Amino acid sequence: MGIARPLQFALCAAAVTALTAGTAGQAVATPPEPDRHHHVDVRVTPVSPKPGDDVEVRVKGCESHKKATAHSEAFVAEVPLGHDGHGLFGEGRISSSIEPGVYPVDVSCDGKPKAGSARVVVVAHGEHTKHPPKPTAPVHAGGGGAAGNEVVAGPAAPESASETVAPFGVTLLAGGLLAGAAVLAARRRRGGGADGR
Amino acid sequence: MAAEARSTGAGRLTSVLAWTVLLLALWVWGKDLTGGEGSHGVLADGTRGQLSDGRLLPPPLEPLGGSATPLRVEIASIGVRADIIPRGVDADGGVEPPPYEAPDIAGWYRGGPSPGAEGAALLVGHVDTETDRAVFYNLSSMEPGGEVTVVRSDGSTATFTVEAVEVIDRDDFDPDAVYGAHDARRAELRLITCGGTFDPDRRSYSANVVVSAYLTATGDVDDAATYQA
Repeated sequence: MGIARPLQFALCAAAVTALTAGTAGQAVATPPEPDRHHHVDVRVTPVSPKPGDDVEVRVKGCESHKKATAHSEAFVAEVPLGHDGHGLFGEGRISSSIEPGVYPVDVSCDGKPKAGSARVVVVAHGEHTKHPPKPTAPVHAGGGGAAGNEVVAGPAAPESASETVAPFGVTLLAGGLLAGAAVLAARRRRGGGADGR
Repeated sequence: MAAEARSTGAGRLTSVLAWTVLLLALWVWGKDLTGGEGSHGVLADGTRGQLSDGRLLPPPLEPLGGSATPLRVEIASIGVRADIIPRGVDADGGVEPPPYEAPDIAGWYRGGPSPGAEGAALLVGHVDTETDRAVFYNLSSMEPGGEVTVVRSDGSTATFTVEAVEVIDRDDFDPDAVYGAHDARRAELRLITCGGTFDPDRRSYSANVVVSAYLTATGDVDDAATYQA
């Protein structure tokens, strides 16, 4: 059914090659570390803009806002940052002619040219069409660099079942009614001798 | 005489009142136990996940409305805090993850529901690159009962409880089962990455790791301060 296995894997390998080759020329040495370990936290919104889109840069952790700027090969120009009450803020624009790819965004402040950094994933205009096709196949989401570890292979799928259960409250109510009926019946039997039976 | 009087009139009224109060209290307590957090309601008759020892997972909440898109995903149990970007489908028909050059980012299938909305929202992330671990490296160590929180563009947060973790071989992959909702009235979430064994000749993993979860709590991004680094 569908694509024969060798062809399927060849397509997967080709897709991986195309991904890496297509962006090989772009200026990304290493992706920035997750910024939770950095003193200065940088957020760019949206993370995945198109060429020509406006972006916002928010920075927390710089001591001073003086001469604080954000810069990136993807930006039209350096973005000056100013105080906004929560930290530093600036607005910039992605260059209309930049190639799709991943670009670091560096923030300089406090005399440090790279006090913090983030990255943007610039996507081509066609990428944000309203209706992409429905997914029909497994994902390709691994380059093999960490393969051979137990964790990656995945645990045995735990047994799990789903079922609908009567709400707990209804159960309590039913129990209360039954208990109440039993007590009332018992009391009537005890005090009922005088009522005549 | 006194005994008869007690079993009629005022005595019986007191009895009825006492039972009414007791039953009302039980009803309110039961309602509270099955209710969702905050002002958001439980989905009536929604499917609840279950642990292998029989314990039930929390009830599903009614899906969230609006058109908010996902911005970040946080999985405290495996140390994941990642930006989310919209993605489509790759040439083979699988949901496309972000580029390998941004291995710390997760992708959201933009043609499907947003996490928190009705239906199955799909998040995809790399398990590794050609050299290093990536954002969903530890996804396969999640277990039923675990929690995943998504921060949305309208300032809300949606928290999902995991009900299943599966490793699905490429040859056994059923897109309807993986990408479709288990209970179409719920807000569901799938987190998908590669798993199984890696074939270096084909440069591909043999399986997908699929974590299935459903909405069990909602909140405000300001409450949890999850947007802070």
